[in-house]
Amino acid sequence: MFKKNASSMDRIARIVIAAICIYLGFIDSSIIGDQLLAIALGVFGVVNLFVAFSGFCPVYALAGISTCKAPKE
Amino acid sequence: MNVRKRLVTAFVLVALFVLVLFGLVAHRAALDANNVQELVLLEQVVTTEVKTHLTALPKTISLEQIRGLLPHSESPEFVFFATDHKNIIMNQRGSQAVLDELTATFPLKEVLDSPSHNGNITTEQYAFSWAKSALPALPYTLVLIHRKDPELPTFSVTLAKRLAILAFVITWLAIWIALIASKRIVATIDGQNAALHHQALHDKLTDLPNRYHFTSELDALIAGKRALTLFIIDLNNLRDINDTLGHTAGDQMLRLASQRILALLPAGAIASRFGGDEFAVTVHIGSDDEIAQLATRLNQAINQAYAINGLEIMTHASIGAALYPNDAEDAATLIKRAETAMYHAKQQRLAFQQYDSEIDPYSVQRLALMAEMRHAIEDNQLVAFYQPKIDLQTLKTTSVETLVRWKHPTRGMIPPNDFIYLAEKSDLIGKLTLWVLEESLRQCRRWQDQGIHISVAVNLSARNLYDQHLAEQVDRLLKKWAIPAEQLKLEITESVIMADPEAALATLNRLHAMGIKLSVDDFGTGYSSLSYLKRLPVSEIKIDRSFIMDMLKNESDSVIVKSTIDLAHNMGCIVVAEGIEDEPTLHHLIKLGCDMAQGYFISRPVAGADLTPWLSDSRWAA
Repeated sequence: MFKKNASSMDRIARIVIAAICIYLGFIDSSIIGDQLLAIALGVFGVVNLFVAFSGFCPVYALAGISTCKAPKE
Repeated sequence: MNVRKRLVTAFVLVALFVLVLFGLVAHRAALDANNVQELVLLEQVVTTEVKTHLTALPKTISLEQIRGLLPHSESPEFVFFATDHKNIIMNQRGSQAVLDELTATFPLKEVLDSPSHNGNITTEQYAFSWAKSALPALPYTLVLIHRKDPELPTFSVTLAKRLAILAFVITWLAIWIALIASKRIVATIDGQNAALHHQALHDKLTDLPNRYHFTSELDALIAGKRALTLFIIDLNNLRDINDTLGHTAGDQMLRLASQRILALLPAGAIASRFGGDEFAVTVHIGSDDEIAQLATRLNQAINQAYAINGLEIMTHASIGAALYPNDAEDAATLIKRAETAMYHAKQQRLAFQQYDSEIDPYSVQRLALMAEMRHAIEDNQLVAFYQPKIDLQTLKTTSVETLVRWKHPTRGMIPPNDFIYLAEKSDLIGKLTLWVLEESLRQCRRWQDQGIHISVAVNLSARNLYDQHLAEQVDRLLKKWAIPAEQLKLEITESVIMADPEAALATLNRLHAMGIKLSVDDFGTGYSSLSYLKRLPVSEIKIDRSFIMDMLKNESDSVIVKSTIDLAHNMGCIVVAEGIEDEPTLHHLIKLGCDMAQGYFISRPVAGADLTPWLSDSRWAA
């Protein structure tokens, strides 16, 4: 149903971003110091984590793009 | 995609710009708020200090004595001091060096003169916030200053950090929105472009590809090197339908016809409307059987009645076909060839015609022949042949018909059917007719001089009838060879007269007025309107050979001949039968009351010199 649209490089980059965001958002939010901002960042991290593991990015799907290699004709 | 990248870049740039602006404003607002709060705090500290520690002091207390009462400051940045507006004293903890530096750089007078209880002052080295309070009943003032380092305050660092994270999240969101929005925008634009593109390449009425689009598609198919057949389909009476029932009816018929055509086509075939009543179809078939079959099915489909406005309307199609690669190797030529075939079908009232260079007036051989014909007249390659016509009462020759042959240097003798129409297509027909006229009159004069008194008949073509100088030219030649006008007969085929009866009538009237006899050739093959025929100044009707040749075998032909003879006689014309090939036919014609006869049984067409002895010695001698 969900066609994969994120390449492995894309997914690796998202794991890194997700890790940083979740750490700053939920694990050690004192660095940011603002609860609201920390939660926003954390949620953002979770979204990226989902993309990293599923290989499907809803925004890519809506925008009609894919970082996967186009299948050869 | 290019548009899209630009859109995304623009979105992100705008987002970043707004973010920077927001950051700046937020920073400034926060700084201001921070400052005001600090001043209030400083003032609170000073007034509390004065109220708690420095009230009810003796009036005699000196500035020096107050020093011991000043509160201790924890930070070197916060300094309390008392002043009598001339001297400054700090509490004991403050070193003299600090005091000296302070008195040197702090604009004390400005602070003391200020009507406000607090404020900010910026000097070259420091930024100060201050608050002051007068000691009750004493000429001294207590001042608290906060000397700020030019380094970024921790407050700003916190603010900047939050702004940066916010910027990161907002930028990321902006990119998301930019990607999605740009997709929507590009999709809308693409949709509109596609609609325009479709409109430019398709016929509005039938939604079939238009001629331009079809030609490029055909080019692409031809590039694939597979054999294909191009059909051109023409609906024959669309104009009548438009004229009588209106254009909506015509349009509706075209739409229905296009649907019928499409329904018959195999996969991979392309249909197009070339405009007007012309359709084109290209199919990957190559065998004559398949082509003929498809043409038949197309014809049957199109020729079925159309129910329009509650009426049953009929049309019939003329279909022409040309094959790639047999007939042409490029799209433009292929279309031209198929159209040639279609026009031929239309002219001949055929349902279908496949292209053949024989029917193409513009095929290479024909064009070459047309070029050579220009020289044929000057180089005397034309030869006049004469075929006698006999009177069926006396059985004597009274007239000859001149027929032209082309003695081609390499192709041998070319019969008139193969080159006359080429002359008609070029401007040579006028010259050719004059040549034949002159040759006939010259021969006629020669026979006259030899005592043979017969008339000559010359064929005119359609183009001759539209030539306004024809009558003058004929007159000049008659005078030149001293032949009386009555001895010249001009023959015009029935179809030529009927093509444009009014124009023909004008020329024919002038010729008739000169005394020249006029004859209708090939009678029975065209679609003569008797009412027109009645108005023409003709004195002779020649029944087409097709009726005469089968007359004895075919009863209906005999009836036609008989009726034609009666009709002609009633109109005051004499009747000539062409194509007599045997004696029984001749006798039958005499019985039917025919006036004159011409044919191989009497004599083939022969050269003038050869006919002269025949005219005096044969059974049909003049």
